[in-house]
Amino acid sequence: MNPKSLSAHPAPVSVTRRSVLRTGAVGLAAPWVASPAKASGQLNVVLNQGLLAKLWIDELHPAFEKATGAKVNVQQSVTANMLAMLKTQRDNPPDLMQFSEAGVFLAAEEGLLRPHNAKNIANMAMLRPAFRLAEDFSAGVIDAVHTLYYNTNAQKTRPAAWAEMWDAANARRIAIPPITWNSGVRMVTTAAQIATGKPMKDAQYDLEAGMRHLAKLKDAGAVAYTGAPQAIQMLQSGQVPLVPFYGIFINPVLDKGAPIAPATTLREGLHGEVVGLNMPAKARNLELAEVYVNMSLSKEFQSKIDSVLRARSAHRDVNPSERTRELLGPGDNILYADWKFLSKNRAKLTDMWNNVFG
Amino acid sequence: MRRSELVAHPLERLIAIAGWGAMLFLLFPVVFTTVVSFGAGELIEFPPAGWSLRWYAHIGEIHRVGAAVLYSLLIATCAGVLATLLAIGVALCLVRLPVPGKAVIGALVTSPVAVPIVALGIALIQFFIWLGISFTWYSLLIGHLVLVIAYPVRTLVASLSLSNPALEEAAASLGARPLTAFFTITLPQMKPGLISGFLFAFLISFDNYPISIFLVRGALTVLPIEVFNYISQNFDPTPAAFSTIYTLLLALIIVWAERRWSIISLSVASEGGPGGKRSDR
Amino acid sequence: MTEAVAPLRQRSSTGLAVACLLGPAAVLLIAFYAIPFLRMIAESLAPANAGAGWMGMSLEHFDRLASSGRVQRAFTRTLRISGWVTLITLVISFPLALYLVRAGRTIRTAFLIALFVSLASSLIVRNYGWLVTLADAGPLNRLLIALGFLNAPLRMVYSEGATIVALVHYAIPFMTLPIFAALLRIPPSLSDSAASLGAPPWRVIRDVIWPLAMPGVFGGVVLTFALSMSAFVTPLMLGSPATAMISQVAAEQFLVQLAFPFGSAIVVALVLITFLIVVVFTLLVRKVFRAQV
Repeated sequence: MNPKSLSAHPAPVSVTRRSVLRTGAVGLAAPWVASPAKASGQLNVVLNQGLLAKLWIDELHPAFEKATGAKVNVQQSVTANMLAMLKTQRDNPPDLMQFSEAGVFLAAEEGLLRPHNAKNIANMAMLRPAFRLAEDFSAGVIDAVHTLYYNTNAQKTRPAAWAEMWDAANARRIAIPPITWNSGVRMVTTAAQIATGKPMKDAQYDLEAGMRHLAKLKDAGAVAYTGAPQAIQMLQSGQVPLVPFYGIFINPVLDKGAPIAPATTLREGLHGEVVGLNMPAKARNLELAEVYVNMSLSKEFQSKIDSVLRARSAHRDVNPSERTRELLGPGDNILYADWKFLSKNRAKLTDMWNNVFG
Repeated sequence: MRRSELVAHPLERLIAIAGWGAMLFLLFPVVFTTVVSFGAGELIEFPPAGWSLRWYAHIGEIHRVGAAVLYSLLIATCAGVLATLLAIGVALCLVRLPVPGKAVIGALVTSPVAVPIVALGIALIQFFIWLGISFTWYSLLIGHLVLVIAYPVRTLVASLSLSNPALEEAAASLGARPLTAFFTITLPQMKPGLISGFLFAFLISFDNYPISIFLVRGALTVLPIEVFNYISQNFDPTPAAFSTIYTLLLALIIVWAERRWSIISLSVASEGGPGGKRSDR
Repeated sequence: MTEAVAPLRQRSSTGLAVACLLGPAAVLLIAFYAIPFLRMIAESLAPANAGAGWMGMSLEHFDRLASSGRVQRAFTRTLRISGWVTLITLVISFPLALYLVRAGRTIRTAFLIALFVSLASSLIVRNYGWLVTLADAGPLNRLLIALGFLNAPLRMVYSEGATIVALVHYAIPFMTLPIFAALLRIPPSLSDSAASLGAPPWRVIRDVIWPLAMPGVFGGVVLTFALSMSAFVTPLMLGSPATAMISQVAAEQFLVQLAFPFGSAIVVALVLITFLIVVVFTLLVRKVFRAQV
């Protein structure tokens, strides 16, 4: 095997610092790297792990590569890790990162992101208002709705409220997402809703009340899952029949006949979370990135958000199809959180949660 | 132990049962993965309701599977070879030469095994970015090298310390130059450590996820990362089929190498040790 | 490790020899392990407010370690799990190694190959397999119920137990091979003479084999313990946040909380603790068992 042939696809940007021969190792390595000074022709994106990434890889990347002649290099990760990636790689970041509003405010405040230039991205004008986030620091591409999923063999009736998780009859049949996931934080705000009786927009600020109420689930034998593979295994086997989960991670499988279904009407409301494409502050491939964002916001691609992922699209002209409406419910009770507040308090909330469940 | 005399003894029976039991436990996940890979259903189930080969055809669906395999093989082979070569020097120093602070050096070299890999990954990526070599295949190699060098060092130290220094002295007194003595006497005595050290280093590097996840980007990717990505977005047995295939291939290579060069028998036995020849018991 | 060293070269050029032999490895480890690790130590000692602390250093992150319930629980849990994993692996691997010594050449080679092949298969796939095997409706529960050992399924996954099972399985090759190699060194004449003096087989094992196998046992134990202390992927896939091991907690601090100094402090503490335990264990084995390790 000739290593040189593999270095024909080197990582793009990093090796221009050849002049910085800080160590002999770099000097020795120099001949192995064949990349040009400008990283043209390649775009590094980090997509949200799971079916979300799959959709972009299957549907957008071929079209993008054909239209621009550039190659897309993709990595998959989750919001929490992406922020760390952004921070540790701030001087050599990826070109685009796909994570939700939960991380955008924090990243923008730390100066890790740059806002999109709406003038260069035509399709941003076609976005529903809710999807233009944080003064255009994020271009929302999909609404990752989070709701209670259940195994249809083990649970015959569809849950009608989040509060059912606290029923004595459901002890040891429930799971909750980890606090490291954004949905874990939403569970606390929903618990606050239930405990205080206030509507979501007010209750979400009372995190202590939420935590106290959520803690009761621990005695009820709730399992906190650590990642998607566990949650999927729980739902698919009926091991734990009631699992809060993101629709975009699982809806396509439902169409293949898995015995899993979403609770589409929950009294306290479903959890909406806008996921967007975000540009790191020191990213280099601006033009290519803007093309990528524009294509992701196009009507053609956005209608796949509906037809493949069965989720709510960001494009104002793409309305949910029938099957999507089945899985999403009437859509009039999807609630969004104040992530500016929640991300500021996340560290404190995480400690509180860990003291109970960790 | 004279097998013929004691084999009927209950203790010997117990040991045999324990041995076979341990082996069955060890092989269970491999068997499990293989069985599951032939399942006909859309989801992973054991035992499967029906049988099918379709997931083997599906392996190509794993994102960038070809590139991942090539990079993984490249990194693992280089890491294995380089780690073993470097470890030779370290082991010789630790065992044969009067170096002060051996215990400390030994502990330092083998300590990467105990450090949380996550921490190493984070520390290294920041360092590589600062150096300007981030996300290249050789920076990934360096990360793997640091991690796996501990294994050949251990096995070589074990090999060397159980071999006989008197032979080298004899060679020296017969006029052999140090380098000659090394290649004709010492190196063969180190063979067991070399082989098992290389195997450990290669296999651990090949399957490493935590350190790779921090050090890759762009065109660079490795097998465990693509498998994990696949498992997070598909629920079918394709990863089981894939793992079965490459495990089988690696097993065949090891078996062939055993036939040709007796590497496995040699990896634990040794010609010059105080116990004498063992491989023909 | 033999103390009677036989120099490969004349004493006067020993220094040069050491430099050549250790050099490359030292460069690698200093540049890409020691330095990043030292930076991590520095980060763990950096005060949260620049300028505070003594000479620019502060132990506040370590203070926080001591007062954080989660970190403490994770440390005790990690020590406990590592202890169990090491013990159980030893109990499984020692008889396996004993058997390998007695087995015929074909079986021995086959088993040895199996040990390496076990390492070759994907850990992620294996762990997912454990998740399915140990599930409530999985094959193990079904088997135990069918055999009458259980009335209802036992919840095994998302627990310490599942993590221990998977870690034991992972560690078996690392424990078995050093012990086996050490057992091979033992001359059969020793056990034969013991037997001819009237010792029953179990006494031969206890009084002759076990002490002589100690260097191998020691190597396997230390390696297994270290692997278990730093385990990450396995507890992540098989446990729950309530059973998180210290690597996961450190990872959370780095990746989720973005609290790099605190995360660094956790890592430093973990390495120190592991190092201490290994040193104490080494001294114990040397003094009590009088083994050369």
